[in-house]
Amino acid sequence: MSILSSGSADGKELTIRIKGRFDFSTHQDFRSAYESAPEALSSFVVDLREATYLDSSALGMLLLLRDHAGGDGSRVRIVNCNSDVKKILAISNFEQLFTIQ
Amino acid sequence: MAELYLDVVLLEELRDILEDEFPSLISTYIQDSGVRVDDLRQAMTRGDTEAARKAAHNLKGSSANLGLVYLADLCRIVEDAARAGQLAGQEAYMLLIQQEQQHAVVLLRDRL
Amino acid sequence: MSQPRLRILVADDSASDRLIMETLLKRLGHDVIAVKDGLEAVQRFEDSRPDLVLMDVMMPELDGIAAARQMRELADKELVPIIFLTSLHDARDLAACLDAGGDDFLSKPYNPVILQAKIKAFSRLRRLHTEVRRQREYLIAEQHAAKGIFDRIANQGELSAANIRYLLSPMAIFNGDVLLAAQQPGGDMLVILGDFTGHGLPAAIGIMPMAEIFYGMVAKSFGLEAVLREINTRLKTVLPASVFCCATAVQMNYRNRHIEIWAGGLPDGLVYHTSSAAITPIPSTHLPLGVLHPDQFRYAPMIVEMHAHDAVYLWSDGISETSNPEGEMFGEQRLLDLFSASENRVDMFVHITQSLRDFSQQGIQTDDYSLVEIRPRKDFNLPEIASRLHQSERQPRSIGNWSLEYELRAESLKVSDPVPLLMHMLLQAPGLRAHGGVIHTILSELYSNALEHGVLGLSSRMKDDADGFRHYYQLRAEGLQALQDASVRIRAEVVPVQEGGLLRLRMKDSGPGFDFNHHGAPDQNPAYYGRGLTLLKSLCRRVEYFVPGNEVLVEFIWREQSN
Repeated sequence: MSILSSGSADGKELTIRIKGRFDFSTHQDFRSAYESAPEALSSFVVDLREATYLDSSALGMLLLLRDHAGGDGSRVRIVNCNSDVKKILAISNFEQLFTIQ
Repeated sequence: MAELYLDVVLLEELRDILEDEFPSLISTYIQDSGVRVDDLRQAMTRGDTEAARKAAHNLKGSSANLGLVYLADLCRIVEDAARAGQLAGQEAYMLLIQQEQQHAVVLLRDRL
Repeated sequence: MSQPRLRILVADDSASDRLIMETLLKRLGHDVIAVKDGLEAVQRFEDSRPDLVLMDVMMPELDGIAAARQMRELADKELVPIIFLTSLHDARDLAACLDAGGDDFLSKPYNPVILQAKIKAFSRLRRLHTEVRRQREYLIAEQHAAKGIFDRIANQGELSAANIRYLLSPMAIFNGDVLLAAQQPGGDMLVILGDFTGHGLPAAIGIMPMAEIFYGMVAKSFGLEAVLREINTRLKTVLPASVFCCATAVQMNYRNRHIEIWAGGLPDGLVYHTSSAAITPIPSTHLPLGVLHPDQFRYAPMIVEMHAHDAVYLWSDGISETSNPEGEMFGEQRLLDLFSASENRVDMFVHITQSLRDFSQQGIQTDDYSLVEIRPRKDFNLPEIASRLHQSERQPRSIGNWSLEYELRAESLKVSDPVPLLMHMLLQAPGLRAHGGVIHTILSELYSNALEHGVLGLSSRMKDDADGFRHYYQLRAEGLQALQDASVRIRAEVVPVQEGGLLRLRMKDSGPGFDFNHHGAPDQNPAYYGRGLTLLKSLCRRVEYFVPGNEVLVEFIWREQSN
């Protein structure tokens, strides 16, 4: 499991890439990724292309990110989801809170 | 010349560590090694590979601990042979071990 | 950098080697027990419990390998490092030493520096091991305490009711699984199967407020929506953002003969129609509890007609994850196949649990999933009044003499359910508490008549067939949404009478009324029969309608219990 984060050219968007299992062990690193980013961010992207597994702690972490990003007014996109990940997000109805691509 | 048979540095380190006990160590080794050589010879005469192996192994270890490298090596050769069940043809080494143990006694007493 | 003083057992049949090691160790500040063979080594090990063992491999009586094995057995759960002193150079021999339980080697001739380093390393390892063991014991004790609390919470409710069967995983509290069931005084049964995110105790902490709210509110006749809203609000407030509860909640509504199901985040569940072996899946259409702000909480339940031989099945994800000895998982498809492939009338609950056990080839003890079956109670066509009440307040002595008037207008009719509030007020009257079930039934009938038949103009005949059923609830939702000028006025009065107490309820709705004088046969006058008048007349001393039929008065008398 590893986390890679990169900012956009204009510094307004942060992309966090998850590789491997997105579970409880990812907690610290995921949190550091967005907490240590500069304040000026207006949107976040979570790239799950290389994520192999997602459990309920991962859902919890996404909620924490959303909270950090401003809650209801936040812009958080979850991208490159494979069908398994999409299914998990669908069952929890997370498309009501995040933009899922 | 003694260096071929005895690791002097090691022995001197032992002397530092043991201090007053050093002479006692030397005399203990001298006594025990004599017994082990006898045990080995008797075992070889009987053709008892297991007993020979144990005696050779034991002497090898305690000799190594006192820096008697040549004697330890001879014991290793006999130990391996005994382990493989081939005591025949080892009589030469037996003689060498006997000789070398007596030589070791002299070397050690010199260093007391 | 001082080292702790250790007790070290040294076993070697060579006197000179023993002497060297003993001296080395004493120089390092440790206590030494020196023995010359394996037998003595085991004996001294048993009676002095050393912190570390340095042992030669080849010894008389009992060799080092055998001695090491015996020591391991004696040590049991304690970690005792055993370092073999050896001039063995054959890899096979060395491997045999490790197999026997040796932790490391020290070769002859001894190197004091290496000896000291190894002693330090193993001493640290032993300290760590003891610390871990201690923490683990503490954790286990903590978890037992938590499980005790959990069991008491779970047993508060109606899980032992005849129409519910369940299997709760013994690991439930550690998984964050919760199963709650309770019956309203009026008879409706509410059940929630929940799964908190996260692991262990922090996840399980959400269970307590959830259970308190559930049992408290259901006992006061609150319905599923109100209960879920309140639970959502509490969890949202109290728990961190990353902890929430995926749940499916069910209300067995006997008066309307339907099953109301709200699913938020749990993937699995279905309604099984025994007569046709058909399945109605229960899709998760809401966000889990504890995620949304109170004003964003959604309640759009699935409503299914209630039939005598239907049943609702809910389960935790432990079911599809149950695996067989080959490591294959049971999976969701196999479970669904059990339903579609079964013959009529087979006992599905037993069938499912048996199939899972056959698959995993393990016994009951390892069932690590939760499963619940909810069937309508027997004779659900007849009213059943539950007499069990949530006793939480002391009763004052006199009947009292009071009245209240409560009016709901359009905005409130759309979102509020006045029944629980009125129940709360009415049950203040001593003596009425024992009749909570009857009162709830009466109030619910009257209010639902006033709202659905009076204000919204719906006819319950529509519910007679499956399509009509769906249509009815659709019209109900649309009608409520569109309400502009409408009202329901309720007046309740409690007075003492000779026999005991009298409750007089008057309800008036803003609808056009109906012809309450000409009953005729049921199919000729659906407006009359759809209003449960037979039931009301059986419960109340008096039931009277006033022209034009949008106002009704009922009277209920109760006898005072002598204390």
